[in-house]
Amino acid sequence: MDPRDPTTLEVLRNPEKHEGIRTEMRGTLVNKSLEDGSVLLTVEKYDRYFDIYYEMVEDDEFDDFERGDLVRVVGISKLDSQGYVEAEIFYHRTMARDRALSLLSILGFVIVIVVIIIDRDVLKEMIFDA
Amino acid sequence: MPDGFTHVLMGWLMVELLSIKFEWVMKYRALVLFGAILPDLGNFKLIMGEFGAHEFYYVFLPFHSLIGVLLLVGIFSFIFKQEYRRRAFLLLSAGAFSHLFADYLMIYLEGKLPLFFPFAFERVGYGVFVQAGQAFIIVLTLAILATVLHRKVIRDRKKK
Repeated sequence: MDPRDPTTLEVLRNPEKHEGIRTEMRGTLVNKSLEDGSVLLTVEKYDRYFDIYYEMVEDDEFDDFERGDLVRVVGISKLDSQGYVEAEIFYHRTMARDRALSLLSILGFVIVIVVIIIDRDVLKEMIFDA
Repeated sequence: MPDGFTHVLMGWLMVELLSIKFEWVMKYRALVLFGAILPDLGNFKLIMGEFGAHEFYYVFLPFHSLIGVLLLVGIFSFIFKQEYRRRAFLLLSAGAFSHLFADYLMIYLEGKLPLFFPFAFERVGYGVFVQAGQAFIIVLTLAILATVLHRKVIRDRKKK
């Protein structure tokens, strides 16, 4: 379980206590379908499944969602006893974006190492000689 | 948090900006760049995916606060000789604060920055750029080019 989300964890443990609460959760997209012009996204969190209706702003937005994407739900408006969530706003990060993030991070570290190697004489002069 | 590449660009921009006023900064650019990635050194998720990401999350989270960054930079500055320590501290700090500033501008999936930890646990962030998006990288690249151009113009004027 994710220790970073105590609020969400509490909400999931006792959904009946927290109906209508506004909180945030992160989950993994497991399914998507089109329903009455909205996208129905099924998000998994702590082995529970949440249906999120999202109204598309652009027509091709449906294709943007991929299984495995991380979804952040901000602003839960309704939570019934079965644990279904209706979200008003959300932001999602694709697996492709996650991969890009990792690659760019490695690239950043490589650049710093290269600059350190290039400037090694300056650094050698500065570093404490044990 | 933005990716390492964006942080390096942010550090580079810091080097270019500081070089306008203090030309000697360019000689020690590696310190600013290292400072720019320093708060993320414990961020396993960026390098190793989910391995260890949750276990060490709260251990490394304070390094993204103002006090945490100063402590981290302070520890690292002790590897430098006495006469260079102050300079190293300032340059590493410049890089590390550029890191925090870049993080402050991000839209987060994981949660915002605990900038004022341990005095306040509230997380802050302005949420302008998306992680791994191109917009921030483009803005930073343009800013670096503008600063390089500006320095060149100043250098040419001095020569005349």
